[in-house]
Amino acid sequence: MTNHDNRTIFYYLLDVITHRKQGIPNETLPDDIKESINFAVWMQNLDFSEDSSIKASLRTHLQKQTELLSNAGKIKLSEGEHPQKKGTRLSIGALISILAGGISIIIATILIVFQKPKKEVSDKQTA
Amino acid sequence: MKKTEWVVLEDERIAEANAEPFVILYDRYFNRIYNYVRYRCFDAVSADDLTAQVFLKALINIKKYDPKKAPFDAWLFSIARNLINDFYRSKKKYNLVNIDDVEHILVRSNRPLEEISENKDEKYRLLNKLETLSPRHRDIIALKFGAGMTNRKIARLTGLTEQNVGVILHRGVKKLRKLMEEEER
Repeated sequence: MTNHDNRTIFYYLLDVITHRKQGIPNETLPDDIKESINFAVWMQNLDFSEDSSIKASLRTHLQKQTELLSNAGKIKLSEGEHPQKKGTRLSIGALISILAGGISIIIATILIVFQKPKKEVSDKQTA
Repeated sequence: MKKTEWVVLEDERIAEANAEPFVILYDRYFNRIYNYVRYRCFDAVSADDLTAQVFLKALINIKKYDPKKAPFDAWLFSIARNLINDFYRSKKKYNLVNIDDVEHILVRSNRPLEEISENKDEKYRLLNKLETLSPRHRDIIALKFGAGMTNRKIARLTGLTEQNVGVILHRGVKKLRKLMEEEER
């Protein structure tokens, strides 16, 4: 077996280890490669995190941070929604009454304007 | 493979909608991130600190993450890589001597081997030997065996070709095995 072949098998096997597939053709491999594969498997299965002092404390810290972040998000959202809610609170009845009030003011001013010249004419006639 | 990515994206959507389930992502990735950091960083206190920084940075920037650009684990490991590189850069710049390194040496010289479990001792030996590898070899080995990434994912993350990743891994594992065997003799 050439060096090139060995390398190709080794890449293949490293990927096999990572994907945790079965069926490594161990018997057909040279001893050197077998040892390297065993070493790689051992390295792959090492877990340094078991006794990590940070694991639990960081988890609690992150939980608090995320709660703060989500609460901040909620506050921002409610602030944004506030003016919109004010706008929608105006009912149709109120709108009609405002419009009616406006129209009546306009009619009143028109009547006042047209009444003035009539008065002037009647004064002249009596004179 | 596709299924895994789908699950990751699903988690990410939850995290974006409500920040609280970020803890789910933490639980899912903690071991892989910690292992990767530990493969690259000999001292345990710095590894703890760097792991914490990775997750905090991810939490702050979670809304910047774009699932179309990269899977979530690749994004998380790119944060970890950058933080570790910055850490080594600053260490080199100020030539810091970590108190934890000194403690490790003291512990190693004074404590009888019997007190340390075989597994822990082997882990320690491996970390010790990893220190002697070049930063590139160490990074690729950490991504492969610490983070459990495929050659393809490592290639995408580092900008190397898949074949190049394979060569570095092959040489790195071979060298490490040789160093460990030499110490045993």
